[in-house]
Amino acid sequence: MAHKKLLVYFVFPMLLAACTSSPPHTRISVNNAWVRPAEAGQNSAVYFQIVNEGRMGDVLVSASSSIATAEMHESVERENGVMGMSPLSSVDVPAQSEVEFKAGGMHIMLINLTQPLTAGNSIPLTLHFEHGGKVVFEAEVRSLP
Amino acid sequence: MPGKMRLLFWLGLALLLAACQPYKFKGTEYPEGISAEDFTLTMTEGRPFRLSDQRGKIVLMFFGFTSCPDVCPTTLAEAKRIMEGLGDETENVRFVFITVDPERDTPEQLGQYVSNFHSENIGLTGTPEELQTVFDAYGIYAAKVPLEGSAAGYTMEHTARVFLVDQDGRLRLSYAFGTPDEDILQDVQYLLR
Ligand SMILES: [Cu+2]
Repeated sequence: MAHKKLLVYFVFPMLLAACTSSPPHTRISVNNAWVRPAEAGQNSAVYFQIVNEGRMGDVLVSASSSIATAEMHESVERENGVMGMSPLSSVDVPAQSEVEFKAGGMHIMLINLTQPLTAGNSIPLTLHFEHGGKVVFEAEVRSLP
Repeated sequence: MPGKMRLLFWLGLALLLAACQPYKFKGTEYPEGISAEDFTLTMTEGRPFRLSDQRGKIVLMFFGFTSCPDVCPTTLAEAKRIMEGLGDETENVRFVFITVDPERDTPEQLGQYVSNFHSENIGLTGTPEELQTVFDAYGIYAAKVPLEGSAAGYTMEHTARVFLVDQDGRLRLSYAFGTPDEDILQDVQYLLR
């Protein structure tokens, strides 16, 4: 009897909770995250690798930070050595793949920092995925990868 | 042992020829004898900077802006590595960062930005007209481009090459964005020899 009660009041709700909150299909991780040093009021950029070990593709739809406006951008060469930067509305992260945000390429731009970024410190950043939901990670402040 | 002698002879000759090969620059070379167009701009603490006053030193020039989050800091981080790689010879090289965004880059901001990468870096600014004259002389494209829906407002699309002016004031080399810093360092060290 006690057994059954336990099942009903404890195990079932737990199972239910697990089903609704777990990211169902993707296994996303963010590695080697670093962010450039910068003064308060200035801009910076965050770089990392997104690894999707799952069997389903996902889409990075936005980024957020508590200390700046975070936007997804890509630096692109126009022509004759002219570099420009374009906003990205989303970034595909196919199944079993690695997507790299790196210097001179895709980056999370931090705009109008409310605090300085000093080498050696770390800041939290959140990526929002279409299926996987939020991924929170720490980026280390340093000037080189 | 004539066979062995002959082998030694050819081996020696090959080695000698290899040693005589002229140094191949890593950067894009300019035709010989082009003197770098002289200019005077303003350093961030207000003093003038004239290019022709830098004779005897190698000047590395880059055009950028301080709210640039990616391309400019990448180049400045490379410049820092070049300066560090030069060791005692750092004093014979100047790294100059010329703003393409005088509208937003105040001298204070520019000074702080460039010296955060290396204390010896020089930030230069001027009136839009003064700057445009320099851009024209070095073939620099710089244009304001609005960023749709971005908190950054606008970005500057700009030529992102590094230019090298040698100790005699000649425009010698330029480097594409993303050139490994060791390549530039090697050229600079060769020219300092
Ligand atoms: Cu950006």
